[in-house]
Amino acid sequence: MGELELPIQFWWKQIYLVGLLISIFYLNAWGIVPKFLLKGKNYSYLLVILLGAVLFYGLIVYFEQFIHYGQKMHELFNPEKPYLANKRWVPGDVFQMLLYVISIGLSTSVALVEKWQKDEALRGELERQRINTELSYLKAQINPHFFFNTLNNIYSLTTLDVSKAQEALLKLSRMMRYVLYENQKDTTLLSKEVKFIEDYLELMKMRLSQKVHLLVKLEEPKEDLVIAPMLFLPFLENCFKHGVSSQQESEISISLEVMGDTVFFETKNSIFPIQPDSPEAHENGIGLVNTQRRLNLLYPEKHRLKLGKDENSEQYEVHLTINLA
Amino acid sequence: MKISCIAIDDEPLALDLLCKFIQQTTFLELEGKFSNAIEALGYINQYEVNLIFMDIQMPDLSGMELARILDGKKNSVQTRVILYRLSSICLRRIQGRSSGLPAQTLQL
Repeated sequence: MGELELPIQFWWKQIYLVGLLISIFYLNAWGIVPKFLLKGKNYSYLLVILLGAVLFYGLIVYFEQFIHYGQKMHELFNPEKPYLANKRWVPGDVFQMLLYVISIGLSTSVALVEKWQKDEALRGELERQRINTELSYLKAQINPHFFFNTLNNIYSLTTLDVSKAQEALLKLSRMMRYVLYENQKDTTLLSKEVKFIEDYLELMKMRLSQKVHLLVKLEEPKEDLVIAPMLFLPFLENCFKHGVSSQQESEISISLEVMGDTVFFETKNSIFPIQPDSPEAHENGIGLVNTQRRLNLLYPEKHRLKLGKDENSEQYEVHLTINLA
Repeated sequence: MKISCIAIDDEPLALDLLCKFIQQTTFLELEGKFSNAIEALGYINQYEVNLIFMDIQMPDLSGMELARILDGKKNSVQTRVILYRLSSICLRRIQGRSSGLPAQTLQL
C-alpha cells in the first residue's frame, strides 16, 4: 500500500482527544477529587466518574460525526466497501475509554499524593509547635526561695564580712542575669552554664553547715559548645533538698566533665527524709520527671540519664551524658 | 547580773550575725550557739538558760516546737524565748502562757 495520506480530520481528532484528556485530568485533580473523594463521598465520586465516561464518549462520537471522521477513515482504509454511518470501529472506542480510565487514574493519584504531602507538612508543623509549647512550659525555674535565703545571707554578711557580702552580691547578680536573659533563649554557651552552676554552688555553700562536705569538680569547657539553659539545675537542687541533714554528717559531690562534644554530669548525695515543713520542699522549681521529659524533647537519642539509689553506698546518684554535637 | 542566753539558727550566717549582736549587748552573756534545736535542747536540759534566741523555721525541730517543749517542762529556772523569722511571710506572736513562758516574735 505504501505511504498513506492521512486526512486532516485524523489530526483534528487527535488534537481534540488530547485536549479533552488534559481537561479531564485537571478537572478531576482540582475539582472532582477535592469535592467528592477527599470529603469521603466515595460513591458519589464513582458516580461522577461514570457519568464523566458517558459524557466523554458522547463528546467524542459527536465530534467524529461533526467532522465526518468515520467516513473519511473508512474511505482511506477500506475504499472498496461501502461506508455504514451507524457502525463504529469497536477497538478504537475501547482504546479511547482506556485513555479516559488512565487519565482519571493518574490525576486521582497525583491529587491524593499532593494532599498527603500537604497533610504531612501540616502535621510536622503542628508537632513542632506542640513541642515548643511543651518546652516553654517545662523551662527550668530556680526555686524562688533560693533568692530569699541568699539575700538574707547577704544581709548577715554586710555586718560580718563586707568583702564577702560584695562577692556574694556580684555572684547573685550574675546568676539573676543568667536566669532572666539566658533562660529565655533556646540555647546558651556551655561555659556560661558552668559559670552559673559555680555561682549557684558558691552561694549555696554559705547556707551549709560544717556537717555537709561538698565536693565540686567542674571542668572549664571549650568555648563553642552550646546547651539548653539550666538543664543541670534541677539535679543540683535535688542534691541539696535530699542530701542535707541538720544533725548528721553528709556528703555531696558534683562533677562535670567535657570530652569532645560530650558532657558528663554526675551528682552523688546522701539521702535524708525531706523536712515536710521546710518551704523548699513544697515549691520545687521543676521536678525530675519534667527534666527527663525536657531531655527527651531536646536531645532525643543523644543523651543518657541514669539515676537512682546506689545499694552499696546508700547514696543517690545521677549520671547524665549528653552529646551536644 | 547578766542574762545567760543561747542562740539557735540553722542558717550559719544568720547565726553568726545573731551571736555578734548578742555579744555587743552588755547585759547578755552568750553561753552557746547551735545550728539545730535538738542539740540546743540537750544543752538546756543540762544548764540553766535564761533566754533563748531562735529562728522559727528550722529543720527537724522548729523553734515553735522547742518553745512548746520548754513550755511543758516545769523548770526551776524561768526560761524566756525570743522567736524570730527572717521573712515576713508569717509573723506570729505567742504571748504569755500559763506556765510563765512569755515568748515574743521579732522580724529581723
